[in-house]
Amino acid sequence: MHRRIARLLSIAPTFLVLGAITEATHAQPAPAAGSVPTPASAEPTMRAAVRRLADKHGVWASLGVGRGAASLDCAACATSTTRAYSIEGTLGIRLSPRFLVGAETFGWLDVMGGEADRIAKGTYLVARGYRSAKSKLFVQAGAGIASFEVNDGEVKFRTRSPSLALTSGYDWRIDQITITPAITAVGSTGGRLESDRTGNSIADDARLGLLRATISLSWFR
Amino acid sequence: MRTHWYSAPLLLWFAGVVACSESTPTASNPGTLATAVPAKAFGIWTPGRTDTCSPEIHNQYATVGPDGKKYPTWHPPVDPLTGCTFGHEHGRDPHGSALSAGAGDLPFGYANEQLDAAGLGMQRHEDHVGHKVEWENDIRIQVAGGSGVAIEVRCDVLVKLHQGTHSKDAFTNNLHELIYHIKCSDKTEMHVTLMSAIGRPGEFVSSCGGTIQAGTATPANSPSGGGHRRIPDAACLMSRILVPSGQRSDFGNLHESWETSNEIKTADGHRLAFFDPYFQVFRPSRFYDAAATGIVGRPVALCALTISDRRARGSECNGMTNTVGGALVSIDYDDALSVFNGVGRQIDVNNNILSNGDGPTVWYSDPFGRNARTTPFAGSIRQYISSVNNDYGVGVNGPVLGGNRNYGGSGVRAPN
Repeated sequence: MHRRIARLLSIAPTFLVLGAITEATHAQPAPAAGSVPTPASAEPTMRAAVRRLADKHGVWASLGVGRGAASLDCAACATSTTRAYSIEGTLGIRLSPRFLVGAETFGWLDVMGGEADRIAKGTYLVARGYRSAKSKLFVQAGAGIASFEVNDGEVKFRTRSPSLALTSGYDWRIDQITITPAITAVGSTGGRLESDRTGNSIADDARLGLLRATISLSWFR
Repeated sequence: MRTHWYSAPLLLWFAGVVACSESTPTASNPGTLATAVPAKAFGIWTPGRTDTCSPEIHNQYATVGPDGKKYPTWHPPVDPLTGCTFGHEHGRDPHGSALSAGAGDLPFGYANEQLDAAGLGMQRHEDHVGHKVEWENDIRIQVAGGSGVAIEVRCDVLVKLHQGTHSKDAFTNNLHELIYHIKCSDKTEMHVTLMSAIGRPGEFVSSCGGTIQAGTATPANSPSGGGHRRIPDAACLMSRILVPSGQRSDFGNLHESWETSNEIKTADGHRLAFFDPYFQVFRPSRFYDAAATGIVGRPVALCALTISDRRARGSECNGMTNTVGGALVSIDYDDALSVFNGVGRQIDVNNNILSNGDGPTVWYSDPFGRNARTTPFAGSIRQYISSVNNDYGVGVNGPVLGGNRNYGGSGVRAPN
C-alpha cells in the first residue's frame, strides 16, 4: 500500500510539470473575471456583500470526483491505509486575476466492501493562487475542520479536528468550462476519537492523513 | 513511533506532540526482607515427600508488601541455585511482563492479610500453591463485532489469582485473592488487588450444569459476588469419562472455569472500575464427590475405575495405572507422573471498564474493592485507576492468555 502511495506521490510532480509545459505551449487566457455591473443594492446582509463581491470580481465553482488513500493514526488505531473514491465541491470568488478565495468541502467514502467502513469529510476556507494572470497552474491552501468516522463492529468511532489542506492543480480551459485535475493532501491532528454511543474517547491523539487525486469541472464567471 | 506515508507532508504543517506519562501503580513501603514482619501467607509451604527443596530455600522467594510485611512471591518450580524442586508452580515468571517494573514482585496473600485488618469480621487465608501468575505483553483487544482492522486497543496484562484446584477449598469458598494489572493504548490502566468474590459462598456450579451446595464457606459471612466457579463433580464425570466400549471419554469436562466479576466502587456506589476475566484450569487434580473422604475425588483414580463395562478410555489415562496383585490401581494423585495436576490454564481477558474520567488515579478500597476513597484506612488496599472513562457502549473481546502454555514438568505435581 505504501508503495502505491509513494508511486502516486511520485507521479504528482510529473503531472504538474506536464501541465506547465502544456501551459507554455498552448497559452490560453486565464479564466476571466465577470463584468456584470454592480447592482445598487442596499441589502445589508452578508449575502448581498458576497453578491457585490462576486459581481465585481467573478465567481468560481467546481465539482469533482477523485480517488484517494487515507489513514487514521492513533494509539488505538490499526495502522491500515485504505483507498476509496471521493467527491468534492468548491465555491469561491476571484479577488484578483491571480488570487481566489472560497469554501471547499469533500467526502471520502470507504464503504464498499472491506471489514470496516471509513468516512472522511472536511470543509475548508481556501485560498488559491496562480503564478500569473495567465497561468493555469495553481496552488491552493485551506484551513478548516475534518472528520473521520470508523465503523468497525457494533460501535462507530468518530474524530473531528482542525485540519489543513494543500492542493496543486491545473486549469484546462475547454470552451466555457474548465477541467481541473489536482492533487490534494489533507492532514489533521489532535482529534478525540469518540464512541458514538457514549461519547467516551478511545484516543485523544487521532491524526488523519489523506491524499487524493481529483478531476473537477470548474466554472469561472 | 510508527511512520506513515503522509508523515512527510504533514510535518510541514503540523508539529505533533506525544505525551508519555509514567505512573507508579503500587507503592512498596521501604523496608528489608530481613526485618520485615512475616505475613500469615509467608512460610506456610512445607515440602512433600518428593519435593527436594527445603522451606528455607522456598522462603528466600519473598517480597515486602505495601504494608511492610514479608510475603511469598513467584518462584520457579526448580530453584536455579540448588536445582532442588518445589513440586508446585506459580505460572509464568512475572519478570518478563512489561508491567513488572511498576508492579514489583507480587506479594501473595496481601489482600488476605488486609482482610484481617479491615475490621469486617472475616478472615480468609489461602494456601501457597494456588497462587497462579499469568501475563502477556501487547495483546490485542477488539470492540464487540469488530474486525480490528481499524480500531485495535493494545494492552499489557499481568494477573495473579489464587486458584487452587487440588483441595475442597473452592467447593465452598468463593473469596480468592486477585492481583490485576493492565495498561492499554486507549489510556485504560489499572493496578488492582482485591479479594474477588467469585459466585456465591457455599456452592459452585457443576461442569455439567446446575448448582451444588457443598457446605459452609470460610469465612461464613463471605459476601456473594458475580460470576461463578464451575467445577466438575462426580456425577458429571462418571457419565462423561466412564464410558462403554467403543466410546471415548470426554476429558474436556475435567475443566474448571472461574468466571470473576470485579468492581472497585466508592462508598456512594459509584463504580470506578469493572473487570471480569475468566480463569480456566484444565485437568485439575480434584473434583467434587460428596461420597468421598473429604468430599474430594481424584481424576486419576477414574483411570482405574470400572463400573460394569464403563471405564475411562483415552490417552489421558496412559501410564496412570499399575496392576498390583492382579488389580488395576491408579497412581497416587500427587504423583509427579499424573497428568491431572492443573498445570494447563488460560485466562480470558474480557471487559475492563473504567469510569474515573475526572477522578484521582489513586484510591483506597476495602479488600473487596468497596468503599473506595482517596485516603487510606484500616485494612484498605491502594488501587490505581487511570483517569478515563472508557465505556464505549459495547463489550470488548480480549484474547486468551496462557492457553498455549504448560507449566508442568520439573517435579510439579498435585497439590499444585
